[in-house]
Amino acid sequence: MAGLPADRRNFVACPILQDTATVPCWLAEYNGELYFLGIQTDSGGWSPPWLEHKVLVEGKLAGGPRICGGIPLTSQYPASPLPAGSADGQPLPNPPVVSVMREIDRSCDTLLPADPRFHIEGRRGPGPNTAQSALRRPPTRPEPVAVVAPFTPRTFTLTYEFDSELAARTIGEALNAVEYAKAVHAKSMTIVAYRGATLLSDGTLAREIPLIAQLRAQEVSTTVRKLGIPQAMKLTVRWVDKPEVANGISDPDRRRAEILVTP
Amino acid sequence: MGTSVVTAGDLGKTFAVVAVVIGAVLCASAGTVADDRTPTPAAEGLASYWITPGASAMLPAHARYRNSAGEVEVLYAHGPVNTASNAFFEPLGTNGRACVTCHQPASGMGLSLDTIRRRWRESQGKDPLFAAIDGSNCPSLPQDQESSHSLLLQRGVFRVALPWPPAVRPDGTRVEPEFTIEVVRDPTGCNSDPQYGLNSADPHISVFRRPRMVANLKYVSVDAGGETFGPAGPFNAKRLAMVMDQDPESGRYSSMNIMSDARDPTLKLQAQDAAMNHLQAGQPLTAEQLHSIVDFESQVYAAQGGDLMNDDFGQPGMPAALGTRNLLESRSGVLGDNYGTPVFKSFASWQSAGSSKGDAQAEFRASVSRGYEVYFNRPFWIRDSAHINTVGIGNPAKRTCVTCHNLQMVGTDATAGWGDLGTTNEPWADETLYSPSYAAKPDLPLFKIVCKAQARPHPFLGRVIFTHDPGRALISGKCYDVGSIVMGQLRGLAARAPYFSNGSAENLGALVDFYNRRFNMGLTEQERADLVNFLSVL
Repeated sequence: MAGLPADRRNFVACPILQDTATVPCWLAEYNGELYFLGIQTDSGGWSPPWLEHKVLVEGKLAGGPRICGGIPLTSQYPASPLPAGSADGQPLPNPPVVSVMREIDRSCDTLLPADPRFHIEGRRGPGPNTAQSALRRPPTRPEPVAVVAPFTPRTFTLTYEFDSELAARTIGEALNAVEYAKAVHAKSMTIVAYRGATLLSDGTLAREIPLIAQLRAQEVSTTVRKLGIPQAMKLTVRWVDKPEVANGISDPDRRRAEILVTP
Repeated sequence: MGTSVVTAGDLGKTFAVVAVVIGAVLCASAGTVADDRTPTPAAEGLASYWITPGASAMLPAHARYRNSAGEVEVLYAHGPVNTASNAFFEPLGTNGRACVTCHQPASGMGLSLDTIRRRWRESQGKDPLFAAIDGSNCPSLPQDQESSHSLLLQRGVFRVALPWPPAVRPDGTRVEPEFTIEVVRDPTGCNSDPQYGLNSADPHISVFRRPRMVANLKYVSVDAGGETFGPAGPFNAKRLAMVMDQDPESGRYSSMNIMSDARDPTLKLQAQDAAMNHLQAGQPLTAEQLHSIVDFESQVYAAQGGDLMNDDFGQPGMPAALGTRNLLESRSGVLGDNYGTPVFKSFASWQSAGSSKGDAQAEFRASVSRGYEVYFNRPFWIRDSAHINTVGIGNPAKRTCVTCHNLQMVGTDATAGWGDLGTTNEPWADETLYSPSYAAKPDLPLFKIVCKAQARPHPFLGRVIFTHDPGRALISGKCYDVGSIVMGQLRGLAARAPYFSNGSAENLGALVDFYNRRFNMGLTEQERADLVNFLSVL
C-alpha cells in the first residue's frame, strides 16, 4: 500500500450499481475486491456516484459485515446528514469521500439486477422526502459568524470534490465571508484557490486538472460578487497551480479555496 | 375492467373512442367554449376560445372552457376582470398583440395548438398572433405563405431569438461562454439569415418554444417557496454552488422557475422582456402598465375543472388538489413527500368503484387514481439527466415521476427546475431514430456545441453535443446546462397541448410515451392509460 495505513483505500474505479428489492447500493471494485460505498439517497450528505463516470474513492475500512456484497468503507469526514438507512438491520457507516470524475467513461456501465440476499432499508423512498432532503436544507450554511470586536482577519475555507470547481457542500462559507466583510467594513478580501492531489493506495499520485485552481478562484470570485461585497473593499483573486502535497489521509482538505477577510 | 379505453388525455386521437365509450356529449370540438355555469355573463365575443387584444368586456371571476378532456377553468381571485382597464389585454406594442394573445383563458392561460390553427383559419393568417417577428419561422420569409409559419402551426412554437454571446445579466454579470456553437441544420433559415442569424451584425440564436402557462404563479414566481424550506436562495439547492438571480428592486432571490431558460427572475422583468420582443413595443412599459400586468397575473388560477364524466372538480368530495379553488386556497412552496404531503394530495375518494353516475365514471375515476399511484409510487431508473441525476441522487436513480415533479399542487420542481430530460438534445430528442414522430422531415434547427477545454462538460453527453435548443446554456453559457429546460406546471394540461418546450409531444399520450422511451419505464398499456387520465384531470 506504498506507505499508507493498511486500512486506507484510495483508488479510482468504475462504480457499480447493485439493485435490491428496495434501495440500490453503490459498490466499486479495487484489486479484485468489492467495496461498499453507500446507498442511493437524497441530495443530502453524500452524493452517490454516476454510471458513465469513474469515481475517486478516498476512504478506509469501516469494519463490520459486508453490505450488498461489498466491504464497507468509511472516512473521517462525516456526511451531514448521514445517509439514513440500514443494511440487514445494522446502521449504515459514514460513507467514504467519493468524487465523480469530470470526463465521461462509457465503460462504467454496470447495473446489477436486484439481489434478494440484500436487505436495505432507506428512509428515502421513491418520492421526495422532506425529512432528509437537502432541498429543505440548501447547501451547507454554517452558523452565522459571530461579529464581535476587536475585529480580526478571518479565513473562510471552501472544500471541493476532486476536479470540481463547484463547492456544493461548503458554498455557505462564501456567504459567511461576505457577511463578515460587510459587518466589519473590511478593507480587503483575498481569494486563494488551490489544486489538490491524492495519494492512491497503489502508490501513484492522482493530480487534479491543471486549471482547477483558477476555475475555483473564478467561481468564488463570481459568488462573492453576486452576494454583494462592499464597494470600497479591495478584492484580490489568486490561485496556485502547483499541486498540493498529498498524504493519502487528508487530501480532501487541500482541495480548497480560502477567503481571507481583513478588517 | 377494460378501463384502458378511457384515455381522455390523448387529444384528438382517442377522443372519438372516449366519446363512444362513455356516451358523452359534452363537447364536439376541442377549444370551443360554452360556460353555461358561469354566473356572470361575459360580453359578446369574449366567451369564446379567443380573446382579442383591446376588446372591452368583463370576464367573469370564474369561467370554464371546454376541451377534449372536459373543461378547463380559470379563476380570477380579485373578481371579474375589466379587460378595458387591464394592460394584460391591451395591445401595448406595434404588432397588435397583447399578453393575452399567447396566454388565453380557454387554453388554460397558455396557448393550445388547436387554438393557433383555428385562429389561422379564421383570420386567414392575418391575426397578430402570426406576427413576422416570432409567429413565423423567420421574419425574412414571405409572411403570406402558410409554410412560413409551419413551426407555429405544426408544433405551436414561437421563435425566441437570444443574443449570442449571451446578453449581460440583470445583475450586470457578463457571461463568457464555455462553448462554441455551430449551425448544423437550419430548416427555417433564420439562424443563417444575414439579418437575424448567428453571423449577422447583431448575432442571435433562434430557438423555438411553447408559451408557458400564466396562472398559479404564487407557486412558481419570485415569492414562491418558503413554507417548507424557507425563502429561495441565496444558493441554488441543486449542488451548483451558484447564487440565484435576484429581483433587482427588492433584492429577494428568485425561484428562477418562471421562464423555460430562467432568464428573467421576476414577472415584471418577464413582462418587460415579452413586451419589447413578442409585442414589439417601441419603448419599455410604464410602471403602471407593469403593475397592472403583474397584479393580474398574480391572481389568476387555471386548472382542469371537470372531466368528460360530468365530474365538477369544484364540488364537495372531489380530490383535494383538483380545480382552481384548491389552487387558490392551498399553500405555496410545499415540497411533496411520501409521508404527509403528497404532491397532488389524495385521490382516495376516487379509488373505489362506487359512483352515482354509472360504470364509466367509476372506471374513469379509478383509472385516474391508479394513474396517480403510477406517478407517485412506480419506480423506474431515472438516468443520464443533467441537473437531475447530478444533484446528489446518483446516476441512475430508482425513483418516480414525483422525484422531479415534486412541488405540491403544481408538480414543478421545488427548486430552480431546469434539467436535461433529452427533449432538445440528441440522441433523445425527437427527430432522431429513437422517435418515430419526426423522422420524416426535420423542421427544427440543429446546433453543434463544442465545449472549451477548461469547461466542465455536459455530464452525460460530453464535450460535443447536438441540440436543437441549448436551453439554459444560452443564458448561462455553461456546457453543463446545454439542453436544460425549466420544467412547467402540470396543471390545465388538457387545454394546452402540445407539450415540452418544443411542442414535441402532441398529446398526453405522446408525453407519457416519451418518458416511457427515455427512461425505459416499461409501462403497461393500463399504466399508460391511467397516467394519461391522471394528467388529464389536473
